[in-house]
Amino acid sequence: MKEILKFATLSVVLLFVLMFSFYELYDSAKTEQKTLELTKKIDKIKIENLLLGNELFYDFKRQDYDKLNTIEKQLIEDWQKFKIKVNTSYLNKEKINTLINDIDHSLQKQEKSTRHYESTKAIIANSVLYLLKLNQYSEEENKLSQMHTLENSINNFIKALTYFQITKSQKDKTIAKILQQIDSFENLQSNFNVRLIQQHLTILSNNIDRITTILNSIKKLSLDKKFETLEQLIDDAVSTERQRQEKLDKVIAFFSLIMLLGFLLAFFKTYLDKKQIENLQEENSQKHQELIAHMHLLSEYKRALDESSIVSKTDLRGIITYVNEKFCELSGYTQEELIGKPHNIIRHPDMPSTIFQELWKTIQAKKTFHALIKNHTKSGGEYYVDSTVMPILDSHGQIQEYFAVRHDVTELVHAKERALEAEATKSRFLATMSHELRTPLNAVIGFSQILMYKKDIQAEVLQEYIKKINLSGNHLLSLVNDILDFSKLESDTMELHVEETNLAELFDEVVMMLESTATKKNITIIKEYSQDVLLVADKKLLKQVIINILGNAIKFTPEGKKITLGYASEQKFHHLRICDEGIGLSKEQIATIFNPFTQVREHQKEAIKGTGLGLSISKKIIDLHHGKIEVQSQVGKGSCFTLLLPKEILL
Amino acid sequence: MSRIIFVIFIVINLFADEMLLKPLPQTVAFDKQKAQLGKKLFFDTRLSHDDTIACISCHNLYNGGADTTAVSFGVGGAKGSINSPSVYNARYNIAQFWDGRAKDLKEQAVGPLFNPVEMASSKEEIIEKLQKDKEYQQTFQKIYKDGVTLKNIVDAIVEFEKALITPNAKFDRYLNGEADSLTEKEKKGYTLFQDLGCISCHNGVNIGGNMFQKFGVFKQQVDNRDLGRFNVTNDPLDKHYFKVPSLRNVALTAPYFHNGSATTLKDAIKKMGLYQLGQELSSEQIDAIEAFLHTLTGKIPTIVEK
Repeated sequence: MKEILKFATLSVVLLFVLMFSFYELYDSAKTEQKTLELTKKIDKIKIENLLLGNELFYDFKRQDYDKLNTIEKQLIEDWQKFKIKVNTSYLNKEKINTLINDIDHSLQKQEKSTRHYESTKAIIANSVLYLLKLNQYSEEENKLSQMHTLENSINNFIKALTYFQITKSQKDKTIAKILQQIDSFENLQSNFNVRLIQQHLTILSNNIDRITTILNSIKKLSLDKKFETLEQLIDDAVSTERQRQEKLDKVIAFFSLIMLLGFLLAFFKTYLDKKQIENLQEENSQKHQELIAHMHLLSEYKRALDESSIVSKTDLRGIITYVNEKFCELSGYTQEELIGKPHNIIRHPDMPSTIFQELWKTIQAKKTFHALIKNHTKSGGEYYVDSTVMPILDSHGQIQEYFAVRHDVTELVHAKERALEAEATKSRFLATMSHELRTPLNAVIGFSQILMYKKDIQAEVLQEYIKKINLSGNHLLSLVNDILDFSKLESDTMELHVEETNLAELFDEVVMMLESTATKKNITIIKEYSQDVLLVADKKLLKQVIINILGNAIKFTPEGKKITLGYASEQKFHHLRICDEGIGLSKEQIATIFNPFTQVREHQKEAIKGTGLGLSISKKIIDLHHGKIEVQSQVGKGSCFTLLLPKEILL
Repeated sequence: MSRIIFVIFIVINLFADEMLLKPLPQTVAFDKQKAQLGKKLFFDTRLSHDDTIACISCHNLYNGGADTTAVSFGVGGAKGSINSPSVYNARYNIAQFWDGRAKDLKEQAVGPLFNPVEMASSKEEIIEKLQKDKEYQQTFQKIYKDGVTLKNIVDAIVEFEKALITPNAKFDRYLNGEADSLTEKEKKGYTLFQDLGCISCHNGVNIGGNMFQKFGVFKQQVDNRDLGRFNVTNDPLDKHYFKVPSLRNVALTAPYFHNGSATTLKDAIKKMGLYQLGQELSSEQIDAIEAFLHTLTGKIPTIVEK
C-alpha cells in the first residue's frame, strides 16, 4: 500500500510539473496570436503614414505634422512592444530577427527622413516667401513688364522644381537667367539684394531636390513589403510553433494517458490486493472457525476418550507425562503420584517381561502395539486393560512421545473366564448326561435282551427283571422330564402360572407323596407352620421345588432322624424352611450344589438315584419368582434350606 | 493667372494655418505623490558626486528653467560644453537635449547624473546616499514597492518635470481669443514672426521644439565645432542640425543658442534673421519681434511656487 501511495504522489507531482511547464508554452501560443494581431495593426498605421508623406506634399500643414508625429510615436512604441513580445516568444526567431533589425533600421531612417522633410520644407517655405515678397517690391517700382517677366521666371522655376525632374545645369542656367533679368532692372530699390535672391533660389533648388531625395529614400525603404514579409514570417513561425505544440499536446496526452493507466493499474492492483486480502482473511477466518470447530471436536474426542478410555502419555523413556481421570480412578493413584514416574508403577508381577520388550520394540519402530495387560491398583487389586500404545510423531516423522489408550476389560476377562467355565460345565454336563442316560438304558436293553433270548426264566427272576426294566424306564423318564424342565428354565421359556396357594396344603401334599419313603427310613417329619399362610406362587412348580429339597433331605438323612418343615413371615419375604439332620454340606459343596449335574461325590451312592438337576431346577424356579434359596449347613449335623419367596410377586 | 493661383495656393497651404501655434493647456495630469518626491529630488544636491549640485542648479525653476551662463558649471567647477535648455514645457519637445539624443524625459534625466562635467555621480552612490535618508526610504517605500532604485528616482523626477508647464502666457490668452491681450507692437511682432518665416520652424504648442533644423542655413556660424544631430545619427545630412528650441519663456532664458553665443534676445533675433532666414532685420522689426517674444512668458506652475 505504501509503495502505491508513493507512486501515486510521485505521479501527481510529475503531472503537475509537466502541466505547468507546458502551460508556459500554451501561454506563449497566445502571445504569438497577439503578436500577429499587433503586426497587422502596425502595418495599417505604416501604410497610412506613407500615404501622408507621399501625396500631400504641398497640402502638408502643421497639424498634419503633429498628427504624423503622434502616429510615428505610437508606431515606434508599438514596434518596441512588438519587438519585446517577439523576443520573449518561443518562436524560431532567426529570420524574423534579421528582418526586425532591418525594419528597425528602416524605421529609424524613415523617422529621420521625416524630420529632414520637415526641416527642408520649413526652409523651402522661407525662401518661397522671400521670393514672393520680391514680387511685391517690384510692383512698388512700377516696372511691371520687367517684374512680370521676373515673376514668371521665378514661378516657372518653382513649378519646374516641384513637378519636373530638371538637371543641375538646367537649374543653374535658370537661376543665372533670373539673376540676369534682375540685373537688367534699372534703379533697383536698395532692398533688392541680388546676392540674397540668388541664395534663396539656390536654397530652393537644392532643397526641393533634397525633398525628392528624401521621399525617394522613404520609398526605397519599402516598409510595406518588409512588414508584409514579417507578417508572413511570423505566420509561418506561428504555424510551425502550433504544429510543435500539437506534437507537445500529443506528448502530454500520451504522458497523461500513461499516468492515468498507471493510476488505474495501481488502483486496480490495490483493489485486487484488497480483494485477495479479503479472500485470504475470509479463508483464514473460515479456517480459524474450522480450527476452532476441530479443536472443539478434538476436545470432545478427548472428552469422549477420557470418558470411555484410560489414557496416558509418556515421554521417550517411558516416564508418565499425562494420565486422565479414568486412569486414576481405576488405578487408585492420583495424577501427582503418577506423573513423572515410570509406567511400570502399575505393572502386575504376573505379566511376563517379554511382553514389555515386545511393546518397546513395536512402538520404537513407530508401529502400534496392542495387548491385553494385567495391572495392579494402588491398593493391590488387579484389573485388566486392553491396551493400545502408539508413538506420536511430529511433523518430521520423529517420535515425540508415546500415547496409550486402554479399556478396562476386567469384566470382560472375568466374563470370559466364566464363559470358559460354563463351557467346561457344559462338556461335563454332556459327559454326565450321556452317562446318566446310558446307565438306565443299559439296564433296559440288557434285561430286555435277556428276556428275549432266555426262555426258561423263572417267574421270580422274570418278575425281578421286569421290575428293573420298569425302574430304569421310570428313572429315564424322570431324567428326561428333569432335563426338559431344566432346559425350559435355562432357555427362559418357562411360564409362571401364579395362584394363591395355601402353604399348609402344599406342604401336606408333598409330605403325603414322600411319607412312604421317609417312613421306610423311619424319618420323622415335623410340621412347624400355621395352617392359614397364603402364598402367591406357581403352585405346581413350587411343589416341585419342595419335593426336590425334601426328597434330598430324606435321601441324605440317616434313619431315625428328623426333618423339620418351618415357616416364618419376614418383612418382604415368606421364609419356607426345610431342615434335616443329615450329612450336611461343606462350604465348597454349597457353592456348587446349584450347578446342574452336580452331585455330592461323597454321596454318590445315594445320589445315583437323582439326576443332579434337581437343585438347579429348584433354584431357577425360585429365581423366576424373584426369590432366593439360602443354605445353612454343618457337615455331619444337617442342612437347612430356606426358600425366600417375595410376598408380592412382580411378574 | 494660374501661376498666381498656384503660388497663392502654396502660400496659403504653408502659412495660413491658424493652428500653427497652439496655446498650452491649463493643467496636465500627473501623479502628485510622485511629483512631490520628484521635486524633492530635483532640489537635492545629494544626486551629485560632491553634494554641491542639484538639478535645479542649472535648471533654475524661478528663472525660466535654465541657466544664466552660456554653459553650465558642473561638479568641482567643471565647465559644460553646451547651454542648458529650459526644463519648462520640456514634455512637449520632440526629443531632449540640443541634439535630441534622448527621446524622452526619462532618457534625459539620467544623462546629467552621470555626466562627469555635470553631476558626476553613479547609480550606486546615489542610491547609497538616498537610502541613508529615512524620509526618502519611507516615501519611496510608500510609492514604489521596490524602494529606492535609480529607476524609481528617475520616474519621480520625470513625473515632476511633466508638471512643469507654464500656461497663461499673454500670447496664449491671445490665441484663446483675448484679442486685446497683445499690444499693437506685440501684434506687429507676431505678424513679422509669421511673415519673415520664423514660424516655419518655431511652431506647434511649444513654439519650437518639434523639429531639427540646420543652424546657419544662410551663414555659417562663427563657432562651427559642434556638429549637433550628426553626433547622434552619424548622417552627413545632419551636420550642424540642432533641435529647434522652444520660444516659451525665451525672455527669461538668456543666453541663447546651443552654445550660448547670443547674450541678449535682440542679438539672438538678429542672428536668427541672418543665419536662418537670410535677411538682415531692421531694428524696428527686431524690437517688434522681441516684444512678441516677451508675451510668451508663462506662469510658474503651482508645484514650483509651494
